[in-house]
Amino acid sequence: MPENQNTSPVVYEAMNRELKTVKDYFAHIGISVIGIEWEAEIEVGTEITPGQLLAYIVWDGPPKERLEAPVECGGRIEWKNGQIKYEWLHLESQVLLRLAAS
Amino acid sequence: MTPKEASKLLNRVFNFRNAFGRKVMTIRTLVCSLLVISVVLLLCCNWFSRPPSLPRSYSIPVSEPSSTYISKRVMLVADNQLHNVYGEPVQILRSGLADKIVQTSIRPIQLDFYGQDFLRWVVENSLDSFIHIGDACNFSCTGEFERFWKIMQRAKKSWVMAPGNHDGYFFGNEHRDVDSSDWTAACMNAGKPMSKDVFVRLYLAALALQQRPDKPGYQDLARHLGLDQVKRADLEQTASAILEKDLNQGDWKYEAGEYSFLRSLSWKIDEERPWQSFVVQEVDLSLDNSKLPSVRVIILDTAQYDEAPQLVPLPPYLNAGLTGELRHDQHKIVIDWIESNTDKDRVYLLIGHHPFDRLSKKAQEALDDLRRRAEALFYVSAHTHAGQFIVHGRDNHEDKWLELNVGSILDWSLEFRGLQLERTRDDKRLVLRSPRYTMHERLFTLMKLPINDKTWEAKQGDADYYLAHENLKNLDANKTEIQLKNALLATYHRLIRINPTKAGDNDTPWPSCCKNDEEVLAEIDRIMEDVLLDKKIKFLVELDHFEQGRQVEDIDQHQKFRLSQAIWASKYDSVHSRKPLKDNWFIIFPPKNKKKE
Repeated sequence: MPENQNTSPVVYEAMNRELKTVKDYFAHIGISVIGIEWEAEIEVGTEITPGQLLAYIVWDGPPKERLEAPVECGGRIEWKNGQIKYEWLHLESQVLLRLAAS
Repeated sequence: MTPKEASKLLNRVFNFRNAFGRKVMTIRTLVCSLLVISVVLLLCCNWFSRPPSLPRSYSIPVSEPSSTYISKRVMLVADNQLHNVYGEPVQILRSGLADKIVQTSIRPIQLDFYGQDFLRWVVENSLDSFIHIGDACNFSCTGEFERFWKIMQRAKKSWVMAPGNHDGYFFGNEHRDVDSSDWTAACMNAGKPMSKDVFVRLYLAALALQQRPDKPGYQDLARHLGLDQVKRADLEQTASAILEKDLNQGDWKYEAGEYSFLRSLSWKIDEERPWQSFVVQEVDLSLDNSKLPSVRVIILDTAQYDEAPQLVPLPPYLNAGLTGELRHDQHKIVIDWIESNTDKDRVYLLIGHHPFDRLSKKAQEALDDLRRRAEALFYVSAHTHAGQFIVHGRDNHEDKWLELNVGSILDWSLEFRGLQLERTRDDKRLVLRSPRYTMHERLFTLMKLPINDKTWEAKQGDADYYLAHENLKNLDANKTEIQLKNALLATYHRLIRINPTKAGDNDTPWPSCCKNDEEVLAEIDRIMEDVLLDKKIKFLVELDHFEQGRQVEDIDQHQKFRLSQAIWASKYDSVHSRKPLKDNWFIIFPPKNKKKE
């Protein structure tokens, strides 16, 4: 498993090209996530690069948290999760994006 | 008479002739005419009963649209029907025969016993606030409400509830004198009968006891009620303090600058006419951002009646289980709240236990009036246990409106929902986000439940089989109750057998007969053989105390066992048989040599 289980809200799994939420991160913070507000251009077909701002995590209470593409997370978005279960981010890791095979 | 002779006779009877003696109708033409009329009527009924569609201007996307959030999120739960399993027989209403007429008259005892673990699991595992849409209790006993309150106390954030028909009316149907023998019997070992006035008082106490430094609104409410000095979190004592202070009518509004989930509260406690008691609330879901509209939820009390609800609803009386109502005094208060809100961009939602179609005409008019005044986005209800979206209004009219009916968290399919509002980025349209969750899906995904262990699941022939109650056909409530208590004893037997008590714990509240699990199991066997109902009840109460206070060897397994039992009981109860449901993936067949059994 990647090292940053508690320090980053997302992790990129290069093997299946999935950007996933890290449940331990959300459980550790213990505050409800109102939602994830994606940057307007982050849609299926968009090319993203590591470090790029993808979205903001809207916590129940300010401030919003930047959600950036982790290292290695670069390529064309093949699939974007349109039914994120914000209610359960602290209990289950969820796939946010899947990149296309290069 | 042969069929041929019968046909001749009918032909003679229906051998209608006109003035010229010509035959105009025979039995054949009569039957054909009736058939045609029936088909036409059926088509007409179908045409008129077809549910209306939403207007074109609504969109129903399957993916979250590009939007910004304009509200906090709440969890919606309803109809957990916490049932006192330690009560005495209730004539007629809790007989095996009654269950043949009203399916929920008797649920599997395992569902009554373990089913509250569903609500507890959601409450403990959610980071959001809760709106409970009513029917927290089943018989309506103070002890049922107290157990419910203890579960809700575990919420990390705030909670409120809309009163349901089971929260103040005997078995959800009728007002009875609190000294009535049936209600007292049902509430044996669970406090006292909880009439509507008693419910409102207990609920106010439950709200006041939510006071915490991080909940300034609830602190303010407790101060307003003079209950801020309450030291112990004791519901009964707090409710008694409300009684002593004569707080029979009141209003409270939180006006400080900080955020408070609960914003306004108005109540009436009428001891003379308990059914006219009510509690109405306003909840704030607004985000901390002045650029966004305020989002308010008004939680109505649809279990407030002009006349005492009766089991047989002969006018002017209503049956609270069949029809909801709200009176003019509550209506007027809500109008004042809406009119005093000067935010032009405000968004209102309305919530009440009874679905719109199950409200009295007068209550429908009141709700319609509030909906229009508040320009409410939609109405949320519960009560049906099924859950669905309902479109109201005539077809081809743009003034249609939406009702979200939330299913039961106890009866299959064990539903609960999230609720929040968003606004589309491009054209600023309001979006409802309300994911529907089911307990069985959540528990399977997160805990891999139910556990497929041969010793865990009760099967046909076992004393604790989940559908044993289906065989109860007795009109005698006493005999029915003996069988139910035996099933409960067997349920405890399996629970203790598979989840042994941790050895060496000096604080274990052992039943008076016993000092270890083996002795408890032997005593259960003995009491099951005993014919006396009183002995069974007395021992079950001791077992309840034991189960609540004991430490088990494997806490994780204990929780999984209890939840698995609740899932099986609810699932099989929904189809009245032990069989896979359509979404089951796997079935293990018997070994080949045993197949013929």
